[in-house]
Amino acid sequence: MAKLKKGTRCSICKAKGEKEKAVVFLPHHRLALCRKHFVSWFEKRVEKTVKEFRMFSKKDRILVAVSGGKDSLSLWNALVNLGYQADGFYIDLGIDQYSQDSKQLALSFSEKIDRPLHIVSLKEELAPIPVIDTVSNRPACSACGTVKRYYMNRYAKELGYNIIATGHNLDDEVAVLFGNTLHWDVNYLKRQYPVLEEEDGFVRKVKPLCKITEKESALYAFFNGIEYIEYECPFSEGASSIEYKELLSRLEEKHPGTKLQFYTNFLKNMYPILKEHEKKEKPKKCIICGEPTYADICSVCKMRERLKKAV
Amino acid sequence: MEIKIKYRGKEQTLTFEKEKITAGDILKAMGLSPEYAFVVKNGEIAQEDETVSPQDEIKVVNAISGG
Repeated sequence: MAKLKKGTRCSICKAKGEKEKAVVFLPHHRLALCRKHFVSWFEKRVEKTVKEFRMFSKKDRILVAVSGGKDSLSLWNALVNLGYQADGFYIDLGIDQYSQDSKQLALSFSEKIDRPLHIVSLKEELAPIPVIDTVSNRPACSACGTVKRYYMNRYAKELGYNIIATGHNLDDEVAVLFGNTLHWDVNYLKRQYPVLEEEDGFVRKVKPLCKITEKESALYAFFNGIEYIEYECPFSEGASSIEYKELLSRLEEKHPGTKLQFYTNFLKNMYPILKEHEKKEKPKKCIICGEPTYADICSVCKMRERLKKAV
Repeated sequence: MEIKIKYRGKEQTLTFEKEKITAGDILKAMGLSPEYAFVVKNGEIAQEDETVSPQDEIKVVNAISGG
């Protein structure tokens, strides 16, 4: 983000004839904002994204995937402030201190905004991530993503929610898009849309922060006094997504708006072409648990089998 | 000059050769870009050219997360 010049006034206050000092500068939107107007700008941008992609309405019951991090808690806060019916869902991954701390922060936040937080323990459902990591032949983050998606979808249905909202931000989406483009991974690129429609056993999944940068999300959390887990999950060390984010930020510094353009132009120009050529395969039901899968046995049941053999 | 900072839940001390230190110098010393990180001085956002002293309560927020 470019520098804010000394004495710059908030763009919105200025338009109203007020004199509040700006504390944040958003170069790609050419906006200098005070604390109050940054918070309202953020929430309006989330609402605009929800409407642009027709994610959900005030009638829907939304389950927010809460990790205890800045993005999921900021998303939950913004959705509740915007008047949506949004409750939280936390999966205790059993990653030692990291899980204990993030769970506590998610619980405190749920009490603060007076909305329920549903908690599922991976230790009781399957096995904690450190144990899964020992039997999995994939990186920990990939196995973790699989189990999170599985339990989120399963519990959303059980608890009567028709929308799953995740806190993926613009930087997350751009880093994934960059990685998938570097590898020309067409199958993943085809699925990179901020809305994944509901279908045969899959609940609709949405990403309302897809046009919010990681820094904007952290600033929103800061201005709202949201306490979140600031240290990294020990398993994410050396993740390529962090390298991509740092690399793309260097580009953004020189050319503000690069990330947003890369993402929105992909959605506008490339995604429709990929979508057109998609051979739509219908999901089946896992022969063990009945959850939707494209194979006979879903990835989580396969993981369970591997865990049993390892004992 | 020594500046105590709080970063990702831990305290650390940064040592600088010069006497006038700004929030931008702190980010630079930590190898962080203002594109994804910011400095909080005594509970308020500090702009990059804002000076900081050892008496200030400093927190550095790095917005990048992995996974």
